[in-house]
Formats: sequence, C-alpha cells, structure tokens
Amino acid sequence: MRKFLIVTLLLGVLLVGSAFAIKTITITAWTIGPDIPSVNRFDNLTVAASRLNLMLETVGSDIRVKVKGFFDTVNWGDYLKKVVFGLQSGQPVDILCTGHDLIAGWAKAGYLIPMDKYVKEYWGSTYSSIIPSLWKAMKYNGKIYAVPQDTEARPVFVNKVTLRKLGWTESQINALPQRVYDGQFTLSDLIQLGKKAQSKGYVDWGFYHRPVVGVDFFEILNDYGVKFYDSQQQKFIFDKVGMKKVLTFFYDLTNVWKITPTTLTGSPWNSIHKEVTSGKVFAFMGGTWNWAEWQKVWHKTNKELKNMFLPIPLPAVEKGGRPVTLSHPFAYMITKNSKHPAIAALVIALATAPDLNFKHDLASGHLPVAYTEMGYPEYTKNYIMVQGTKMLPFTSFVPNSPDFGYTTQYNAILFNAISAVESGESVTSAENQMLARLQGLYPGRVIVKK
Amino acid sequence: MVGKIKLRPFNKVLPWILLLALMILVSMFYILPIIITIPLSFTNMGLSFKWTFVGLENFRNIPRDPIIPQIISNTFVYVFFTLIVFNFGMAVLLSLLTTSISDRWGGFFRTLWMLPRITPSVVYGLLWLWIFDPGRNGLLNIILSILGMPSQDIFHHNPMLLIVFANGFVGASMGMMVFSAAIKAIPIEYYRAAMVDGAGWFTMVRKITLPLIRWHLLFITAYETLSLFTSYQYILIITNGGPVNRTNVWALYTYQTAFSDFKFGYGAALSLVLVGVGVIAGLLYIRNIHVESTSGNTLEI
Repeated sequence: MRKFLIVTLLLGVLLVGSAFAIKTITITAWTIGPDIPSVNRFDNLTVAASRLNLMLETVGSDIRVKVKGFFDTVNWGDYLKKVVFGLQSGQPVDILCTGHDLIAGWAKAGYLIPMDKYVKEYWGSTYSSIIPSLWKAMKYNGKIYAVPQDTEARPVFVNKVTLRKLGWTESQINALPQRVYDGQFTLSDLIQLGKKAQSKGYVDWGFYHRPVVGVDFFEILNDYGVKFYDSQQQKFIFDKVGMKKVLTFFYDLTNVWKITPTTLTGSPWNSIHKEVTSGKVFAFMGGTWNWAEWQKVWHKTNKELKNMFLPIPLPAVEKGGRPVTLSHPFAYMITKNSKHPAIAALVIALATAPDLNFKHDLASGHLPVAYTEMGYPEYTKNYIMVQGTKMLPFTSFVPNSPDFGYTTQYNAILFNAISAVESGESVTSAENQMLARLQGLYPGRVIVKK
Repeated sequence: MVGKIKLRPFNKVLPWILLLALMILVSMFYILPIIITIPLSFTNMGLSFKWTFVGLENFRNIPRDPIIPQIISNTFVYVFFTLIVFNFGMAVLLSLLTTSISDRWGGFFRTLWMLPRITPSVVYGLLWLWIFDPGRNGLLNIILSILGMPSQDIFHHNPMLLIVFANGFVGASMGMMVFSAAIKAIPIEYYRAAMVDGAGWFTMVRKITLPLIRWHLLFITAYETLSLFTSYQYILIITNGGPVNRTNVWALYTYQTAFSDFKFGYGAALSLVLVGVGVIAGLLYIRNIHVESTSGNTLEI
C-alpha cells in the first residue's frame, strides 16, 4: 500500500511537472470591425494560433501560443482611444488590426514596429501572392508597418427595381456597369435618373451617402479631380475651383435637385440601412461590406439583394471620364509594446493564409488581398466580390500621412462643409469656413490653388 | 443651540485621519490633474505623448481658431437657457407646485422629475436620439404620422433646443429637491399668519417663500452655472456637437481636441481657459452670496 501511494504521488508530480513544462505565450490582439460580420479579423488570429500550436506539438516543442484580445464593434473613436491610451499605459498589446490610414500617424508616434524583416521572412510562403498595389498602403517613410488583411470597393448601389419601373429592360440594366466603366454613363445621368424616380414616386429619395464623417467623401473629391493633399510636401491643397464644384454638388443634392434629405447628415446608420434595404432610395454610396451587413443584420438574402441592387463605381463627372471608387484596406500591425514580435509576426503570417482571409471576405463582403484567394471556386460565384474586384483598377487610397486617419481633422472639416451646404448654407460661405479652419489648424501647411 | 464641545486629544486627531483618505483622493484625481494640465498646456503634446514645450503657442492659437467664436456663442446659449429655463426656472416652479399640494402627490411628481437624473446618461441620451430621429423611425415622427401631421426634424433645424431640453430635464431635479427641502423648512406659522391676513398663494410665494429661500436660489444658480460650463456628456451622446458644430460647446470642444484629435497640448490650454472662467464665475458668486450664520452658533472642536 505504501509503495502504491509513493508511485501514485510520483506519477502525479510527473504529470503536474509535464503540464507546467509547457510554456504558453499569449499574443494580445485588438481588432475592430466596426461592422459585425468582420469578426474574422480577430477569429482568424485564434485559428492561426491553433495551427501554430499543432505544428509546435508535432515537432515536440514545449511552447504554445494563445491569442486573446477583442473585436470592437462600437465605433472608431472608442477603438482609437483604447489603442492610444492602452499602448501609452504599457498594455501588453501585440497585434492591431485596423485601417491602413492610421499607419502613418501611429508609426510616426512610435506605436508600431517596422515589419520589413518579417514580410521578407514569410515572402515566399505567404506574402508574395499579395496584390502588389496594397503594399503601398502599408508603408510609411519607406518602411512596411503592416500586412494587408482585406480591402474593399465603395460602389454606388443602384436600385434595380426602380430602374425596371422606369422602363429599363434587363439587358439595359445589365449593361449599365460597362457604360459606367466606359465613362458613357455619368454622375449627372445618375442624378437625373434619381430625380426622375423620385418625381414619379417610385422612391422617396434619389441619392444617399454616408451620414457621418468618413473617408467615402474623398471619392467625390477624386471624381471631380480635386487634389487635396501633397504627400511630398506633407501639405494640404485647397483647390478653390474644385472644392466649389464638390460643395455645389452636395448643395444641389438637397437644395436644387432635392434628391437627398437635408436631414441625412447626422442620421443614425440604422435609419439609412432600413430605408435603403426597403427600396426607398434610388442610389446609395455604400461599400461592398454593406452586402454582408444587409444579409446578416437586415436579413436580406443574396438573391433578394441581387434582384434589388446593381453595384457600380461612382460614375465619372465628364462623359468619357474614368469612374472612381475608394479602398480602405485593413491591415495587421505589430505594436512597440509586443514582447514577442517574432511570434506575433508568425501568427499574422498564418492568419494571412488564403483560406482564412477568404473566409473573412465571404462573411463580411470584403475583397481578397491575395491572388491565391481568388482561386477558390466560391470567389467566382460570389456576386459582390466579383463586382467589387472589377472596380479595383479604378480605386484610390486615403493618403498615407500622419495628417490622415479615421477621424482626423481634415475628414471632419470636409464633412462639416458638406453638412453645412446640405443644410442650406451657401457654398461660398462653407468653402471660406473650410479654408479658414484648415489654415487655422495647419498654419503654413495649406496650399491655396485658385 | 449648539454649545462648545470638549474632545479628548485622540478625538481631535480622528477627524483629520478620517479626512486623510478623502484628501488623498482629491489630491490624486483633482488637484494633481490640474497641476499637470498647466505645464501640459505649454506643450504641443500629440499622439507621441512627448513634452515639447512651445511657450504660449497654444494660447495664441485659441483666438486664431476659426471655430472659437461659434463655440463661445453656443456655450453662452447652452448655459444661459438651460440655467434660466430649467435648472433654475423649472426647478423653482416645480418646488413651489409640489410643496403646495399634498405630500403624497408632491412626492410622486418629484419622483417623476428625478427619473431622468437616475437614468444612466447613455440610456437617456439614446432615448432622446430615438425620440427625435429625423427619419420616419423616430418616436415623435411616428406619433405625428399617426396624427396625420408632417414629420419634424428638430435634430437638424433646432439642435440647440434639443440639447437645452435634454439637459434641462435632468438639471431641473437638483434645484427642485434643494428648493423643496428649503420650502418645507419654512415654519408653517408664517403661511398661516399670512392667510389670516388674506394673502393669496402668489403673495405668499412672493413675500414669504422666495425671500426665505433666497440663499438656496443663489447657491443653485452658482452651482448650476459652473456645472453647465463643464458638462457635455448629453451633448456628446445626442449630437456630438453637430450638426456642423451647432451644438458644440467649450467643454465638448476641449474633450474632442484632446481625446478625438489627440492634441493634448491644445486641449489642455482650452481646458485651462475653462478653469479660469469657472474660477472667476465662482469668485463673483462667492462675493455676491454672503451666506450669513442663521443663529450665530458655532460648533467648535
């Protein structure tokens, strides 16, 4: 009996000892949607850790990796505060997943570590298949600070049901995107159609855009050919003629054409989605991710959406011109607080596996970042993904500069000017206020182009 | 009447020991931040959290900031109307009315008015957002549509009105409680004597109630003015200062500058101006409110 007890105790000690011999490294990831279907931005990291653990176990390593953290669905402002104050207070955050436009500001402030060596390390296995243009959006001062996670296009969703009511045949409807790509169908044509649909009572409103501050409005600036930033000089450009045209467009939407409600800016997102998905709006400047949101949150089926909406890029202003869209790639970054940057980089590389990124794209309506993702049969079957990818040659990015970022002041100043003219304030007054605000905030850094 | 109380040596020290915890907390979370804010306001601290001193640059930038005139005007409108109409006016009216009816009903109405105060700020703010949603999904517009009336868009056309009302419904309860307590402390004999002399309700209010609660009126006016100058949570939740800064007030702009734009140096300068205004207003009130001892009694330890 005594021997048995001793043996049992020894076995117990050995078992406990072997359990303690496994060293678990925790990687903390703070990610954001804020759209709910983008939860795989976080979940893919946990799957990557599981795959890594399987490899470690197979080779007999005593190290295991655990991913913890959060996926934020509240709003950008709160997420940014969490990151800024979290990092500055020394929180052990390893990975961030957020928009590329934050890279420059955060890299400059020393929040991020360069990832060039890790990108090089996993180039052959993973990163060589990333669409090359996306790497531009990952750089600041010539260094790579992030790895692309997803991208998207921002189509205008045209109400097909209304087009049919206006007498368009199916072949005319199906031919519309190509006419937009060819520059034969212009922004003005879209507005005229919206006016017609509204006047005939087929829809309540002809044109909707996002109701809150955001990068979508740069799309309109690009469409009108308005340059607003000089990346070389790191100065803002205020093109008086161009800006007048842009603000006049927004003024006309609510005050002349009256196809956009003056109440649009500041309205809750839920109201916008409810109106759009119930067919009360002719054209909505949205994003490919809306497709997934409308299915998951607004309970529309893919078939219903295909029957209801035709995604097109924002039509060119002039006949024969190029349409535009805007991409805001998301990216994984490693923070200065990371105690295990090499392991964080490995987890990111594994999370960039085509199957994981593609799972995220499918679930959230985002677009692939790697050519390898496009090889999946589901890709060619996915309507919004294919349509969105077609728009990518017409896309542009937010400037990679510390002056930009999700809620930085330029975005807010532009949005305020748009809100002002839509509320009925004169274009000249809004333009002057915008310039004064820019010059006040960035003394000596605003180039006024007359 | 309270006489002089003799205490043993330990008991003399005890209040100071008990106060020590409070003093530490106040020092850490109130005095220390103010002290840190002063040097911070002379830096251009941003995302990198570096203390780069720029002298008076931030203070010079305040009058150059083109949004400041609008912010000052909004702050004045917000503080003045919320104070006069609700935090003072409505509070006086409610306290007079609820103390003029039976205690049971008076208590009931006072409890009703306390509801906004005990409702969590976010829930309260979201309720207002839902009620005044300018689309067809807002409660107000649903009701108007049932009544066959055109929908209203207060959110865009009168946003400041919305903010004043939202704050006022919360703010009125504080004054109401203080004034009600003060009115209830007035000896009933005064009113009985007035009634014997044939005084009506308005006369009694004018000649007895208001003069006897004047210190409370002044205190609430002072307290609420200072409180409104620094309050912004309902504005943040309901309009976030919009549309187009039409409801942006100094305290909210300070918060946005520091915690949305991450310009901590400029934000600190803006907050110091607010502290300065608050101190001046406080001193003016203290100078004008000579709270006299009601009986001359003192509690000496």
